[in-house]
Amino acid sequence: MSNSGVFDVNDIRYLMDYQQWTGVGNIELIQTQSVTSSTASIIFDNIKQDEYNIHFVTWNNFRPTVANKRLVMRYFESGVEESGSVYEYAYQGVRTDLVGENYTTNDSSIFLGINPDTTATYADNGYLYIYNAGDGNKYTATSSHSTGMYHTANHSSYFGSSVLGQQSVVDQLKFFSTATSNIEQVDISLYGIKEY
Amino acid sequence: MATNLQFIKNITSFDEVSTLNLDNIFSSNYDVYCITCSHIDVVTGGLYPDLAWRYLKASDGSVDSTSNYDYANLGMALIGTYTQNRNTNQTRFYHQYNHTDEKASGGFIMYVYNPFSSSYTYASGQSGQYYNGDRYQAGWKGISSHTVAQSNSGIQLATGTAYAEFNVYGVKG
Repeated sequence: MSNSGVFDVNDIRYLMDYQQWTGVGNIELIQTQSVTSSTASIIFDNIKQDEYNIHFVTWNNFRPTVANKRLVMRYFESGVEESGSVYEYAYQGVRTDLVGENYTTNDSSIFLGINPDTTATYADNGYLYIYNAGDGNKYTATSSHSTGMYHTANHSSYFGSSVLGQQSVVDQLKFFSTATSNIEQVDISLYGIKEY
Repeated sequence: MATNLQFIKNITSFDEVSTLNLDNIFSSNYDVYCITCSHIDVVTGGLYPDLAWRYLKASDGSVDSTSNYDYANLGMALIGTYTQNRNTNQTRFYHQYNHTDEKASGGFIMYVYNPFSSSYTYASGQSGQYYNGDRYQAGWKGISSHTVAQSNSGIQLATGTAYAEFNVYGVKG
């Protein structure tokens, strides 16, 4: 439709019918989940991978039940949890006392952030982009960034990226802590970035 | 009004081209812009297979290829050591690396700050994908500045592509 710069109600309804009305913005919240006591994992089981090529995830105030553990993510492919050593990732960690980097081609989950302590003043906070989760012809990739207080009381940040080493449809996301910890606290929001 | 990304434009190129202009995407409506890409097939030219960028002048839409781009980036490839790239007074900048096989190209996000104002333009970006030629995972993060006090209306991808799809959003404060 032509755009005169002014939308009347019928224009808006027409555009909404065709999912082209952008007045409410294009980061669309899919779901938020929160943990406030020891929990093994958080699973997003309806990520709408058919609607979004790029997903955006934020996490806030992550703390493990065991100190020096970090938040990690794993995929489900067509409803089946992929727990094999098929995740490849690389990261750079920057702490007030150290800069380090690491990578692997065969982990069973994707590292997302730093390792905080269990006390309330420590936390990891970050965001994550997931590319092509729903495209079975492509390798699902991520890039992420986090910041928080490392368990040794050094402020830290973490930048990472990953690829799932096989072409598949990713339709669920699982967040948990590295062994042998649960999640003590975290708020995780999953968004889709709308395209046209 | 809610803070959010607001869609501006989709640019899709189906042809094999050596450069691709994302024109008329910056305006006085937004200070910060987000450019996303999850479908790209890079071929030759420029810093292939890195994605090289130059700005388009608001005055006439022409590309600014003067030596006024500074950049720094970190490539995290699972091959050898990580690579730091930093340069000043270049004719283009780059933040992202891309595999030559489209299915392994992953995606990237780039934020551009104040491109339309008559001041310096800054950008930051991040990506995740496979490393070219080998199936090693790689990630990149980078920053850049365009050290010309000039209004820019668009950006040019100065790397050849056989297919590319970009979405441009304004970041509404």
